[in-house]
Amino acid sequence: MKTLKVLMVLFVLVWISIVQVPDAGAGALLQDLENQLMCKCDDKCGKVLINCTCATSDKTRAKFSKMLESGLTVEQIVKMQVDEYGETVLSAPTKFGFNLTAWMTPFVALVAGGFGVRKVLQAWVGKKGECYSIETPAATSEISEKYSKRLKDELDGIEL
Amino acid sequence: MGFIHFLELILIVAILLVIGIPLFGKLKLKKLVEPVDPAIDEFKHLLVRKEETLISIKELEFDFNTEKISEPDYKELLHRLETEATGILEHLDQLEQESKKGKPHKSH
Amino acid sequence: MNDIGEFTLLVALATAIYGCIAYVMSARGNRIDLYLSADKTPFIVWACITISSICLWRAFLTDDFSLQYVWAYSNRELDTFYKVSSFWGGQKGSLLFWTLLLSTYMLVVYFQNRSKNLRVVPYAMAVMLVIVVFFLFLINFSTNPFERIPLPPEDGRGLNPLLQNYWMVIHPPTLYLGYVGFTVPFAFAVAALISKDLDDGWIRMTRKWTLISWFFLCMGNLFGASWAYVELGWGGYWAWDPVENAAFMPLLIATAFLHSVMIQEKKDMMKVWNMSLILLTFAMTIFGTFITRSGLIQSVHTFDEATLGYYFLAFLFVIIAACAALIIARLPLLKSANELDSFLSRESSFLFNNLLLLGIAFATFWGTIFPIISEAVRGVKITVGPPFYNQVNVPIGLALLALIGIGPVIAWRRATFSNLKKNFLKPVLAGLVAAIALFPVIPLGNRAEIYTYITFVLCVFVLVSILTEFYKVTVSRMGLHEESVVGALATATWRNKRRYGGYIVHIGMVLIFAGIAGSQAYGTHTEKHLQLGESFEIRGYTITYEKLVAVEATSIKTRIIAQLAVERDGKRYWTGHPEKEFYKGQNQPVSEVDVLSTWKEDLYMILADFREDESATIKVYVNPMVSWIWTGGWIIAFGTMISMWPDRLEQRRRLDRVRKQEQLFPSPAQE
Repeated sequence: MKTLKVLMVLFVLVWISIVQVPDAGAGALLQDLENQLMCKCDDKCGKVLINCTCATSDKTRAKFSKMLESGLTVEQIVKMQVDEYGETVLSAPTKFGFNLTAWMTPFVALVAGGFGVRKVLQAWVGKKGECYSIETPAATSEISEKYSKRLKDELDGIEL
Repeated sequence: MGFIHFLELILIVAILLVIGIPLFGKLKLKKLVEPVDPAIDEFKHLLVRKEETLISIKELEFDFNTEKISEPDYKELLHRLETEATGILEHLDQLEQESKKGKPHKSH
Repeated sequence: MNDIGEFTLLVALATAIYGCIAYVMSARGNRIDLYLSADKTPFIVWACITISSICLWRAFLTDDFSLQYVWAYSNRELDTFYKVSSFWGGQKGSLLFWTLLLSTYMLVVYFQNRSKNLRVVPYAMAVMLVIVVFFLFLINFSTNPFERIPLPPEDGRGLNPLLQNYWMVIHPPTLYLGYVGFTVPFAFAVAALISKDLDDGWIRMTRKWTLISWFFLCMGNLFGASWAYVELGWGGYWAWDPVENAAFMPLLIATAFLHSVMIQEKKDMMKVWNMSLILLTFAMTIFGTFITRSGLIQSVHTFDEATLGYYFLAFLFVIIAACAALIIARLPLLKSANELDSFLSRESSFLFNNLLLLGIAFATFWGTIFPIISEAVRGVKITVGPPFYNQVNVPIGLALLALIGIGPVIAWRRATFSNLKKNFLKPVLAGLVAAIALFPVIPLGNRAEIYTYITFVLCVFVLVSILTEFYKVTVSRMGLHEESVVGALATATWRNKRRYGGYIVHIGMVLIFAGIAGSQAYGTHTEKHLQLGESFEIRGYTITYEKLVAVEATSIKTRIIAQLAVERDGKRYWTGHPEKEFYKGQNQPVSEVDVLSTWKEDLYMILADFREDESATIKVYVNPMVSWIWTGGWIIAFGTMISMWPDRLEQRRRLDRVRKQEQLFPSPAQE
C-alpha cells in the first residue's frame, strides 16, 4: 500500500511539474507577467514585480495591462522586456542552454545524495548482517547470572 | 580631556595587573591537566555508552509496548542490547579492577 | 564618552588577541599560570565591549550627532524606542551589536564551563576569541562606529522609515542571537578536534546551545516574515531574497544537525558527519553576513555602505580550509563502527531527513550564487527569483513534510514491517479521507493549487501520525498509573521532554506548511480607484471608502489615513485604517497596512495612492490561512521550550557518572 502511495505521489509530482495549466482571465495574465518579470526601478530594489510596491512598479503594471488589452500575449511582452533590459529582467533562469544547470543541479545533487545514502545504508546494514549470522547461534547463549542481575538493577535505576 | 586620559591609563594598568598577576605567582611548575590517561577516557566513554544502551533498552520496551515492533524482533533486539550492556558492564568492572590494582594508593 | 567607547574597543581587541594566544599556549604547554592569566580575558573583553556599546547607546539617546553613525541613523524626532534599535540599524552598529552578543555568549560559556574539562575548554575559548578578534578588527580599523564629524550638524538624517516598526526592533536581535549562538557549538567542535577529545562530550556540552540558537534563528526568520508582511505592503511574507536565504540555510543545516546528533548519542557513530554539519552551519552564518555586507547581490537587506564583503569572504575561506584540514587530520580518530540494524529504522529515516534538508539548503545556496556563476561563465547577468525557489524547493519540502509523519512511527534500530503497516493505517486512512473530502471543495486549476492540495493531505497524515503517538503514550500511562487524560499526557510529555517537545515542534511545522500552502494558492487581490463613499466587493466582503484624514504626527512625519468600512452579510464587521506615512527628507512614502486577521483568512488593506479630490487607490488582498503560520511559530516556540527545559533525571544521571569517575580516578585538586 505504501509503495502504491509513493508511486501515486511521484506520478502526481511529475505530472504537475510537466503540465502547465494555463490560467484564464486578464487579471491572471497580468499576475503571470508580474511573477515572471523583475521590477526595473532606479533604486534597484531587486524585487520581483508582484512583490514590488514602488512607484515604478505601478507604472509598469499599468503599462502591461494596456499591452495585454491591446492583444499582446504574455510571451510576447516577456520577450519585449528581455530585448529591452536583457536577461536580468526575468525573475528565474530560462529553461534552456547553460541556465538549465540552474534547474538541474539541485535535483541531480539530491538524486546523487539519495544514491549515496542508499549505499551508506547498505554498507552499514550489511555490516550488521555479517555479525548477525555469527551472532544468531549465540542468541541462545546465556548472559551470566551476575551481570543479568546487575543489568536489571541498573535498568531499574533509569527512569524515563 | 585629561580626566579621560587618566581613566584610560587606570583601565590599562588594571587589566595588566589582572592578567599579569597569575604569571608571576608560584604556579609556574604546576600543570594545567594531568597527562591523558587512556583508562580514564575509556571509563568515561563507557559510562556514557552504558547509559545510552540502558536508555535504548527502555525505549525498545516502549516501542514494543506501543506496537512499533513485533515480538520476535523485540526479543532479538533486546537480547542484542542486553549483551551489549553486559559487555560494557564487564568492561567497566575490568577497568575498575585494573585501576585499583595499578594505583592502590588512590583507591578507597 | 565617545573617546572612552573608541578606546575600550581597542583595549578589547588587544586583550582578545592576548587571550587567544595565552589560552592556546596554556593548553599546549600545559601551564596553569598562563591559563589563569588567559582566563581573565573573556570577562575583560566582554566588559570593554559592553562599555563601548553603552557609549554608543548614550550617543543615540542624547542625540550626539558628532558621531557620523548617529547622524546617519537617528534624528531628534525619533522615538526613544527606535533610538535604542538604531544601534543595529546600520552596518557599523550592527557589527558592534554582533560582537556584543558574541562576547556575552562567550561570558556565559566561560562561567558554565570554567572548571569542567580543561583539555577542551581553553581551545573552545580561544576559538571564540579568534572570532571576536575578527569582528573587533573590522570595527576598529574598517567600520568604526565612533567615527567623528568635525562640525556636528544640528540634526541627524533619521532612521529608514521601513525600519521603524516594532518587528524590526525584535527581528534583528533574535536573528543575531541565533546566528551568533552557533559559534558556541562550533567552537567546542573545533576544540574537540584540536584536543583530540573526540568523544561525544562536545555534543553533550553544547546540546542546549544548539537548541537555543536554532530556536532564535527560527524565530528570527518568522519575525522577519512578520515584518515583511506588515511593513513592505505587497501582501506576502517571504520573497526568497538572498538575505532571507542566508538566514534560512543555516536553519536548515542546523535542523539536520539536531536530528543526526541523536544517532551519534545513541549509537556512537556518524562522528565525521556531525562534525561537518556544525562546521557547515557556522560557515553558513558567516556566508550570510558576507551576502548582507558585500553589496554583491541586490537585496532589501543590504546595508548602505556594504564594503566589508571581502573580509568576510576571506574569513569564510580560512574557516572552511582550517576546519577541513582539521577534520582530515583527525579522521583516524573519528572513525566509528558505523552499523545499523535495519533499513527500516528511525536511523535511516534520519539519514533521509538529512538528505532532504541539505537538499533544500543546497538548492537555496545554488540559487543564491547562480547569478554570479552565470556572469562568470556566460558573461550574462541573470536573476534567480521566487519562481525558481518555489519550483525547486516545494517538491523537496513536501517530501520532507511526509517524512515528518513517517519518522515517529518507525522504531529505533529496527522496525517490524507488519507493525509498521498497521501503525500507518490510521494516518494514511486519515490522509485519504482528507484527500477525498477536499477534492470537490478545493480548486485544482494550476500547479500552486495542486501542490496545496497535496500539502493539505500530507498535513492531515502527519498530524494524525503525531497525535497518535501522543494518544498511545497517554493511554499506556493511564493504564499503568491511573491518571486523568490531561495528567497522563502532561506527565508523559514531561518525562521525555526531548521526544515530545520535538513532536510539538513538528506540529508547529505542519501548521506552517498548511499556512504557506493556503496563502500561496488561494489568495486573491484587487486594486480599485474609489471616490468617497464608493464601495466594491472581494470574497464576500463589501468594502466602502469612507474618508481620508491627514494627521501631522510629528514635525517630520505626516500620516494620511484612509477609513474603510468592511461589511459582511450586510452588517458592519470591521473598520480598516491603512495609511501612508510621509517622512521629511525621504523620497518615497511608507505604506502602513491594516490587517484583519482570522484563522480562516487575513483581509489585508493598503492605501496605494490618493489625490487632491480625496479619491484614493485601495489595494486589498485576501490571504487565506496566514495566521496559521504565526500560530505554528508559537507552537514551535512552546515545543522548543519543552525540549530545552532542564531535565532533572538527566542531570542526576550526569552527576552519577561524574561521581563514579571521580571515585575511581580522583582528579587532582584544581587551583
